[in-house]
Amino acid sequence: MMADIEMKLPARFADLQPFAETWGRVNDTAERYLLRQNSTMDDMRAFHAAAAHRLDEIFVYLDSFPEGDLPPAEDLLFRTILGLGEVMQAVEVLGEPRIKNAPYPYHLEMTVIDDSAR
Amino acid sequence: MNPAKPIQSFVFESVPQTMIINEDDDSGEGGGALRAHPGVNPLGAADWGGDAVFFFPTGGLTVMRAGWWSNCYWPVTVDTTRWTARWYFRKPTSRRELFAVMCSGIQYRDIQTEDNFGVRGQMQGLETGAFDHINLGFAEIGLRHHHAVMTAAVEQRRNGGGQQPQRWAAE
Repeated sequence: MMADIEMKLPARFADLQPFAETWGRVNDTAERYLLRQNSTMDDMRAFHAAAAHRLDEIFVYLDSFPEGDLPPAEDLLFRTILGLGEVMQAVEVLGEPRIKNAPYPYHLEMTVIDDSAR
Repeated sequence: MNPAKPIQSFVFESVPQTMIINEDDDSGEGGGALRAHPGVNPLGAADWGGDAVFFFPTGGLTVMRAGWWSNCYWPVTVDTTRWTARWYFRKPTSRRELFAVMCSGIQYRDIQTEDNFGVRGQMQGLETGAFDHINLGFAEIGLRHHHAVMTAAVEQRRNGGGQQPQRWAAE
């Protein structure tokens, strides 16, 4: 979990602030996966209803910033929206937070490697 | 766009991992050029979604429009295995594409996790002795074929005769 640094979303996305208080505090895929396993479907459906149909608007906005580090508020928005990847699976695919027959809590390491220079 | 699955639709539209390439698609690297590669779509399907090659019994390679992935199952003991998977995507050129790639990774992770624990459940069931076989559907012809070849090879090693694995493989 992240320390309390900048926890305010950009003003135009202020209605997503409640979800930034949870999904915006995690910073890697393993933590997001665990957060999904520990979340209720009601909470994830609320996030889905508030943000899923705004993805195009959100990424037009985020991609208007230059490549590299985002300003704190936009960085928080990006981290928050990354949580929708887990919410997608729970709400649109599985119908539950966890995978059937998988142990709980289930941890799976996913490492991103950029080997494009090879 | 599937209105019931707006995030999944957004992901597919942003990084088309599992899109079908048909004969009318000539969209550069991800379309016509890939389709024209001699190692891809060997059966010449009019609508092509991907090729899956299995290296029985320890892994496989799947090639799709915007990337490929490999699965390896390394035997550790008689009843444990180490699973490693690698997914390769084109490098994202925007935060939109990065989000879509990360979502694709989550999808593949969950699909494979579900499959792996299904197999684990089968193995645990066999271990109890409650049943002694697994039913395979007709569509699982690849697994049935490889199992038959492997069984023949083991029998030949044990008995110095019996079914010839090369013959099974040819059939």
